[in-house]
Amino acid sequence: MADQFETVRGIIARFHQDRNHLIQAMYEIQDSLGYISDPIMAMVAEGFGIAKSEVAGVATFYPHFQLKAKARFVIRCCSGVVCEICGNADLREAVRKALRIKDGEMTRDGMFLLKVGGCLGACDKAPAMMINETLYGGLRPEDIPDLLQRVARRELAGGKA
Amino acid sequence: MSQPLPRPLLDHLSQPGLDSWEGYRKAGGGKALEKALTGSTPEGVRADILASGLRGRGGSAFPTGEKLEAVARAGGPPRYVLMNGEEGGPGGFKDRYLLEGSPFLILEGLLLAGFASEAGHGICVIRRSAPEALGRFRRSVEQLRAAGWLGADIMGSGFSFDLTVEIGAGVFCCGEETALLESVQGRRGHPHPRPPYPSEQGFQGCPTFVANVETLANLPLIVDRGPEWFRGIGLADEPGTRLFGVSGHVKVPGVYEVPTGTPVGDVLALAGGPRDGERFAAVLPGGAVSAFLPADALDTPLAADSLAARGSCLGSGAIIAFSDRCCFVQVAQRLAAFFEQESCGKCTPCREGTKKLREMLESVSSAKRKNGSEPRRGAGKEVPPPRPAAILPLLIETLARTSACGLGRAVGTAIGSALTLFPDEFAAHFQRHECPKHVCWS
Repeated sequence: MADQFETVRGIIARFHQDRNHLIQAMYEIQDSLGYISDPIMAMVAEGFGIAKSEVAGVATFYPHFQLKAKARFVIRCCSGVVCEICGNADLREAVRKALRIKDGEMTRDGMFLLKVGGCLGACDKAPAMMINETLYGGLRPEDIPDLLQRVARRELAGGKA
Repeated sequence: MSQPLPRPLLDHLSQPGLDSWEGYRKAGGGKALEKALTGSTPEGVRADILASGLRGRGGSAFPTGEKLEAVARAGGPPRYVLMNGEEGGPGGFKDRYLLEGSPFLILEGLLLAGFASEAGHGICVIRRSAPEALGRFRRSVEQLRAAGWLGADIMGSGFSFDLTVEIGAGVFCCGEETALLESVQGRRGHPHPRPPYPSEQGFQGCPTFVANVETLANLPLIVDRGPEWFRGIGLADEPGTRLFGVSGHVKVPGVYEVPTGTPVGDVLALAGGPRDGERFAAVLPGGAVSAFLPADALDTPLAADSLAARGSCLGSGAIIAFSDRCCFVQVAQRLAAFFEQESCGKCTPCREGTKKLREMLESVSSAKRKNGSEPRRGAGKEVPPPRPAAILPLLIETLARTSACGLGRAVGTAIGSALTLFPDEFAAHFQRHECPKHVCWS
């Protein structure tokens, strides 16, 4: 815990309390800690000299911020209209079935989290899905179990996702 | 199409080695900025761009030259240039394609815009869901800096310019320039009423030139080849070529470039036409904010006025094709769900209106389930409104008239046009709770 705070302090210090860089700083914190918890938000607010409500306001406005303990893999299912007409409902169903979770839920082992929403801007590869920072396009529902297994196995083998 | 159509941007992108500075120089890049810095003045570049007739490619089609002029006149320094790479609407991916393909071209355009508007600092926003583009762009900035093209006194011309790359938040409404400005200043992405326009009071209250990625990509070509060359392509009042990201039910989705005024059908033909065994039923020529064009209107030229005559718009270069297998009530419901999620929640009509719109369409589009069980109305509790056919247009009009920004005003455009184009399909859902195409029971 202590070194977590150290990391956050380091990141905030680099931005010199510049309010304009709040979002960038929060991204970096999220990248190194996985998510932005309540005490971290308080630290950010203190570091930037602004109200905690303001930090919370920003954190809840942008869907890319993660406020709860993060799964190792965040699956983002696109819900733009192009993916929808190209069959992404079946894709989501396949993910839900394979992981036995609902939209917005995390698997019990903390491995996968399914998020639905927004447009990933990969309409040329519809239906598209993002797992962490990797984009997968042109998927079919039958590819899903394989893909998820591959991703999970790479993690167990110690490789980077 | 007897002679090949001009496609300067895609021709540029097809050259090898564009991801390194040496490769870009070898491909003829950088000449425009050299020409401007050594042989011209900011006024000269502005005059060139004004003469070229280039219009913004982000959706509003505002003359770029006038915008540069406005920023240069607005006072300061400091002045800023903001690259809007926060492209996140359904069907919009041509900016990502450009950023991945030729980051240096965009950077050169950004430097030219900085020179022409006499700005000293550039801010590039690239959305987070395009990590590939973001990575390449960052590496390119480093290379450009190493080559001495960023920083103080570039090429001994006295022009100093530096830039920062920021991660966009990937929110649809942040594509709107005032909301984007809020976002890059680390606040919630709520739009502002305009005026004041960003060209007067933008980033930190200073004059800011906000431009779409594709607009910036056109600047080096115009400065290098001259405004007459640019004027010679496409339509007289909005010259040049445009990139279109074609997606949906076509054989080869992707990015295509055509001169302005090319019929929608020709672009769809470039993308391989309809998939096997399907026909086009309708097309959204400008993404989710435009109105559906029916299949018999595919000869409509891709130009602001001819599309406006059909109640649609050019938007930001996203063409989405829908085949005859789509249920348009379901499509409308998905669109409404998207807007509901992306609404920033600042103004009431948009926040509540999108929710009602989605609920209403959901209650009819999922009225009867596949196995013939009882209608699933809304989330299970709500009952479909008594007269959706009468209430929907009213709701759409309210949204269009009272929302604070373009997002809310555009929510109903596509849905409203679907209502008028496919009245039978909607009537079947509304009155008999059935889907003639047997698709929507999600």
